[in-house]
Amino acid sequence: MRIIKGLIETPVTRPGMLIGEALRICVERGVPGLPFVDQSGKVTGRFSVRHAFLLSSISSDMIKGAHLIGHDALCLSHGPDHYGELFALTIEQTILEDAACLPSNALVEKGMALMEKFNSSYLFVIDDERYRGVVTRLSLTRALLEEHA
Amino acid sequence: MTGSSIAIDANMWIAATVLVGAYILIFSEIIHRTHAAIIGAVAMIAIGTYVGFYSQEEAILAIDANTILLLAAMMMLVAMLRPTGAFEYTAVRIARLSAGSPRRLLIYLSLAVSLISMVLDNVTTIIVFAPLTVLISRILKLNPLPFLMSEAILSNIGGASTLVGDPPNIMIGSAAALSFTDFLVHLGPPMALIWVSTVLLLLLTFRRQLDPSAHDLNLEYFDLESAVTDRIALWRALVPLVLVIALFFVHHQLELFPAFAALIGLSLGLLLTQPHPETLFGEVNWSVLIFFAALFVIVGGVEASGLLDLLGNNLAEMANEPGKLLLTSLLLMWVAALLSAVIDNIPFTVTMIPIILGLGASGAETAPLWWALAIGVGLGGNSTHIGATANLIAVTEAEKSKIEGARISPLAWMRVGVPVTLSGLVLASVVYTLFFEFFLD
Repeated sequence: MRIIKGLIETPVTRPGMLIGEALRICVERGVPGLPFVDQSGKVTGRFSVRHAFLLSSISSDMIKGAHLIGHDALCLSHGPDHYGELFALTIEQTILEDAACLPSNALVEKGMALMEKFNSSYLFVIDDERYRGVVTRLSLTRALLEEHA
Repeated sequence: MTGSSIAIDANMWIAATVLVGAYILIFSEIIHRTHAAIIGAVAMIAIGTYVGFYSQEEAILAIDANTILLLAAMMMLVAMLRPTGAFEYTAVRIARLSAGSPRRLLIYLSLAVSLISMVLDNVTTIIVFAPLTVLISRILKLNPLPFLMSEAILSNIGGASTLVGDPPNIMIGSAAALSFTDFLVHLGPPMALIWVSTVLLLLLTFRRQLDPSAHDLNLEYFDLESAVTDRIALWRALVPLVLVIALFFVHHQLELFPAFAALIGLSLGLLLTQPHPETLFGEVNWSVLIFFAALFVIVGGVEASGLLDLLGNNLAEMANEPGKLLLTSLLLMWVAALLSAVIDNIPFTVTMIPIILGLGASGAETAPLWWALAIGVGLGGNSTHIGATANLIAVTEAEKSKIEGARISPLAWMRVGVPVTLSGLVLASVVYTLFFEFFLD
């Protein structure tokens, strides 16, 4: 099966877009990330939900000692102001330069393998430098289940 | 051979030039220090072989296998212990023991890190403890800066008191055939004294940040039960380590090299824990081991050229007189400390070792010089943030925390590090002078 079967069409992110706006698109479309395009429309990076929170709200010491944090450690909870300020920032500072892409006629198996290789749960589908959409592990699984129902 | 019978020749000049060139490349950090050391070692062998003062066989023999294998074995033992959660358990237990007092927390955390650094590499100890310290500080709403700096400084002091706590000590112990007990007996008491005085100085320096009345510490925010996930795995990793520490105390009597003692424990650990080879060997810091090996090769070339013998012979006269020996030792201690503050103390130690050995061959009393060198390189690194790897880790972790006021600038480090180092060196010099006879053994 080709990955086009699991394609999720999404808008792209552009310079000046707010983090909150990008996050809303991700939530609505059920994707963990979106491509970031420059003024010419070329994909130059990606906006990642995971990275947006890593950068602003989850520190490396918290990750390393996550299992040691008590369930009631309210002191680590960020207030509403923190997230309000985060969502009002523009996305440029959160953009990652690496973006794993593949064409729409690639096999699902190759897509799954690429996700493993890049430790990612999504890939951008690009045909002839034209952005088509996102495939995720879940969207490919859904396509496989529908095909073999 | 006497000093007067040796004159500096072309070979010595060539070897010295290669050494200086390699060290400039290492210290300038234009390229990674290990890359620079490998290039220097290859250059020394190639030029030495071409000119005729050095050979490939001599270069291989110049590498101190005891040092390299001891470090590698200890790294692997730590790699087996790390995933068990022993360090995490210790840190959280300490946080709870501090009972809400920032001062007690600083003392307990620093004491734990120092004690662990006496038997394990202090860099590894700080790598594990620094993020835990930031997390504890974050949860308790404390500034992590005093804790991170204290841990790094005091672990350097703790590590300097034993054979295996600090790489320069491993090299010194290996070259001078000094045992684990020798180090503990000679350096333990002065370092304990310096440790206590340093803690007092740090508590005074950080008195505002550690004011108990300014904090409401809730220790229930830690989940101690989750620290150790597999108790059997913990014991399987601890037993070999305990065996190694026990063997360190008797390795001299059993005529075991410290490296072989560590390898015995490692073998037991491999049998008990059966770690995945890729994970285990992936945890070994090969960059450090190859850096040390390359330095041995570089200095081996200088030694083969006869330059270090010449230096040793010229210094022998000064070191042979009892009055001058004390002065020479103190000078060595302070110079070693000064240089260790601004440059990597390993190349300095590796260079000094054959010089002191040469002094010994000339009939000079070298025991006090070894101890002076160990004290100097051990304490000197505390004065600047680049003086010791543990300091750099503390600085990096403070910066990564993004906690307001936690960032440690180079100047901020020196404001604390310089007085701490100077007071430690003064104290060490007083103890060393008062008990000089003791350091003659």
